[in-house]
Amino acid sequence: MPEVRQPQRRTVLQRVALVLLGLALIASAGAQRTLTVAQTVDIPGFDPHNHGLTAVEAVITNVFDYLLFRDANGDIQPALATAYEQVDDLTWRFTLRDDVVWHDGEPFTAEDVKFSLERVARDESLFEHDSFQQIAEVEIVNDHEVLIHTSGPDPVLLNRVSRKGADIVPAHVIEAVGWESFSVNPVGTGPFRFVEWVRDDRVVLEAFPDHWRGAPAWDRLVFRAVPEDATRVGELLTGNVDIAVNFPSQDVARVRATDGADVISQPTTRIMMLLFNTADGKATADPRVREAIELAIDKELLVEVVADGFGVPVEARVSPGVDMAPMKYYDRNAYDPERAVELLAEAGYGPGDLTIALQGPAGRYPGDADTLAVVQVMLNDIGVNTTLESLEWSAYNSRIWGADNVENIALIGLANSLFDGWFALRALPCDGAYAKRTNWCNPEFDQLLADAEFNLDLEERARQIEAAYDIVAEERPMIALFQIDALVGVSNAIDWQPRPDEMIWAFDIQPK
Amino acid sequence: MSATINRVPRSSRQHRLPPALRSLLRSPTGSIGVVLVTLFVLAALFAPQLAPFDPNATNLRARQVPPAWIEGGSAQNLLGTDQLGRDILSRLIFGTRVALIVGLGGVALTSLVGVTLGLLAGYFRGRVDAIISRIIDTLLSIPNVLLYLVALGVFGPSLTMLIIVIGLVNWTTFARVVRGEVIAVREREFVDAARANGARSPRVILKHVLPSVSGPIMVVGTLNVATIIILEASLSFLGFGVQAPTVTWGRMLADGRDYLATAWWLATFPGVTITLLGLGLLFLGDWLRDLLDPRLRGR
Amino acid sequence: MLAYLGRRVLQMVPILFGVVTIIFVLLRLSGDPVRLYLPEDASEQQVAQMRASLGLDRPIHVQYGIYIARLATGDLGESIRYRNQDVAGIVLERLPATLELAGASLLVAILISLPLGTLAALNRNRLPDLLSSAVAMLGRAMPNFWVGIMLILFFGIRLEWFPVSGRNGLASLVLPAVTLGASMAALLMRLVRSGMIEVMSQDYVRTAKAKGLPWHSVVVKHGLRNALIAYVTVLGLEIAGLMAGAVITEQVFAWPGIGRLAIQAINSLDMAIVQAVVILASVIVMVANLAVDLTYALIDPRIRYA
Repeated sequence: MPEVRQPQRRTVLQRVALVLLGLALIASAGAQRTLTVAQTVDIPGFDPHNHGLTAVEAVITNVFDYLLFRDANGDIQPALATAYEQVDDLTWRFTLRDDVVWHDGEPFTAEDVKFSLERVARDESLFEHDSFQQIAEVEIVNDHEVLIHTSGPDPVLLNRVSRKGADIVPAHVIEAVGWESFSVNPVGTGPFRFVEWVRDDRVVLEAFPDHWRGAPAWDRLVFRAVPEDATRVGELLTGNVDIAVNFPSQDVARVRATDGADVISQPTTRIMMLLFNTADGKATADPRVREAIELAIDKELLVEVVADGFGVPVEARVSPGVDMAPMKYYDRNAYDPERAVELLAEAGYGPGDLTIALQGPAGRYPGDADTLAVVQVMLNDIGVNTTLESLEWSAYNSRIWGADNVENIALIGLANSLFDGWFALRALPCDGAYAKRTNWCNPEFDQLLADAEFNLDLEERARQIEAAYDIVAEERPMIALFQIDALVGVSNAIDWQPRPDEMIWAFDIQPK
Repeated sequence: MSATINRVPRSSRQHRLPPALRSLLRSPTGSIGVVLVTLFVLAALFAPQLAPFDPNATNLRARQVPPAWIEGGSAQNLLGTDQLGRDILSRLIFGTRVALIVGLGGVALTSLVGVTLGLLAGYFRGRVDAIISRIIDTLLSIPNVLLYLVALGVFGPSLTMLIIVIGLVNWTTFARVVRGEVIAVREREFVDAARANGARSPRVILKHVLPSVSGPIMVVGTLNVATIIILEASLSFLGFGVQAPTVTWGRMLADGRDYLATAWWLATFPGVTITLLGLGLLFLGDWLRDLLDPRLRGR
Repeated sequence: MLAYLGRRVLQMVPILFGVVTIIFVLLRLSGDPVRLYLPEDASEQQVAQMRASLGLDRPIHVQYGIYIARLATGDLGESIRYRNQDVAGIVLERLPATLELAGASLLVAILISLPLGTLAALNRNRLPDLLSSAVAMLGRAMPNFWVGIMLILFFGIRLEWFPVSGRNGLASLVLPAVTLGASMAALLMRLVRSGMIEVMSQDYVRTAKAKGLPWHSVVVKHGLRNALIAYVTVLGLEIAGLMAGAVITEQVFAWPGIGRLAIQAINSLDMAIVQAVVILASVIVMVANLAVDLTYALIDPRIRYA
């Protein structure tokens, strides 16, 4: 009967149409290029002035821009600012781009620069405040020009405005909706725009076609939080992610043997260091003992055991890309156990006479507990008795490190977000953050640092900082063990070299 | 006519073993339990003699050696070595010490607190009982892992503190059991007292309570040791247990987690060990239950 | 009935108060969270500044008063990690994941314990009974996080059948649910078994046996009702244990629920989040206990609450 057949014909046609539509959708979705990155932690929010973590900045740097931005070699390049000029000791002029729009279409102006930098420079409750309080005021000259006034001569202002915490945020949006809303729904000028954030799971960004550098090569950018090492490795091998950060060193050989992916090692600014308590009466009071301890450690073997060779032995807190860091201390291993025993004897200690306490965190840095265990073995080898304490980070921080309660030796890992050698020494002066831990005070060192802090003569500053490093290397309130390499798993389908500042800047990543 | 004197035939006299031993021999699981627990206790007591290596002795040239029966393994390290070359078997043996110290110490403190509070609640009833029961309810509504983690964060994750914290959190089961017993005995006593028209002193009630309570306490206690050992392993796994360099099974499991793909034995054997000790204790506890408290026996 | 409900809800308040106070005091005593969020070489001045702006430099009783006062208005405080974000929202966002895990685990536990317990009861003291008894013992002796790790090793890494972490669809729920459910199943098996056995000794079953009727199905039918009562009982007793087990399981499998959130927050001394999670967990436990008691009334018409 006609009534029965006609619906059937229509249904068939409908079905065919649906299938074709579905195929078209699949085809178009397939054409969408998505870059997926697996990280260890999720972001706590999109407030760039308030997170303090490199791993978080690596994500949100795709949404925001800075005035100046480091390129893949670590050199500072123009970004939102096209030109800069130092007007006088306390003033810098920045000329801003005039073709930048926010993700909501509004134009970027000097007002936004003033709003962003003054907030982080003045609000004491922000985590990034400490690195920006040197900025006294941002003066608007016109819509595309600002003058930054610093409270004292600042030789590293350019470093400051190109690092995490200096992201420029839109004044008009935040004044309208407030930080609580902005933290979960950001608007920036970066090449990618916010789509969604599933807490502890993923951040999804999409390409912003009106970005001033041009549209990125990727339609979507996804950052997934995958805290388990084995899973990150697995996801890279199966092709579910294109980049996996914090790659475990013990899986590198396995992954390199496959066709789909490679593991690239990139030096970071983080150095594993030992801090000594030099107070009188402590076992580590005698500088000869401290020198003996450094000579007893075979730093190359240490790197081999703890990081499968992915690191570089160093004798000071230096790494490539950090300005004013004397690189003569880089890649040095002064291992000399015989001399160490001699020094101990000179200090009056025969084999078995000295007992040293080793304290450190477990699970905070890659291989930290193992590092301390290996150092213990090496000290035992030169006849020093040792005790070992490896605590979970919050316990270590509140009981030992943060409580200025170091017995003899404390392990710590220190990074350099300002990429400045002075920054690396700032905790060591007589009234510095480490003074009560090391009980070390050298007025000559303090003078050098004070002179260098506001010294705009960069050559003289470099000499002063090197002299300060030399004092530290001589007297050893702290010794450096090795610089940590970041291991990043990278799919062979993309063309990318990890950056020394550990940012995952997707704009530079190209599909092969 | 001679009175009938009950004479025990000679053959029976020879078979008069203590009832406990007889029950043990009759129960296969009970025997296994006793054997297992004894083995572990011996391992803890004689660890330095039994273990082939120092548990913290690193051997940087022999890292991640597989167990002896696998290719690449050696008879020197029967169960293999970890990422720093430390012998797994030796670490397992020394780990027994922490497990048993925490287990037994924890149960001791737990039962002390629990029995005391249970006695107070059951004897005095009224306000005291209400307060103690409220405290029990409060403790029971917090997922215990979180409470332990926060408490250990305050008092520091050391062996002593771990035992103290466990004692202060874990006592609720004991308290409830004892409270129930005390109330039951009290009822009986009051009924008798009403009959005899005399006063009953607390000491007399205690005299009746403690014997009938000791049975269930031993049973619950034995099972509780197993629970505490697993709890300690869990806390160590999360990083809040006894800290390095003391060897604990939980820590070994946490370390082994990172090496599942390359050195599976690091995470496998500690778990097997915990399970074996747990089984031993459970078997022992079940047999004790059958022996001491027929009321609790499963049908 | 309503009066009973009202009384029970009122009873929750002092307990909740006790929970909040215990956790608050412990957290405040456990150290300084500020240092955990600043770089390792932060200056004393920076630490002091941060502490002041977070309100942590005031004496404990003042902080406590402020916290309780805010709590009364529904304000759960400020998270240090998630600055400027609503704490209640953060915790509630993660709740569905934990509920999903708990629900799936219960399902697994029932699916394992019901058939095995029944089998054991019907074949009492014979091989199936002993075997299931052994399995139950094993389940109770094995630490559940080790079970999780072993499952990851076999089914995740070796066989690659299931994902080993994260929440990504049904497949990723399997291993965590089996881990958490297996330990519950061990407990439940014995109860199902004894419930069935109790039924088997009933008159009507003996009559059926004597008459040669299919007594197995009678046992099963009535045994199921007993099993239901047993499940409900255990649920009430074990809900806190289930949540505690979920905390560890979520950590092993990186499952984004409130347990994992709590551990992260405890590690970083993010007090507001820890407090919020504990409050939520306690409320869940108490509500579950109440639901259990009400279910008793439903199942067993002899029980009446005044």
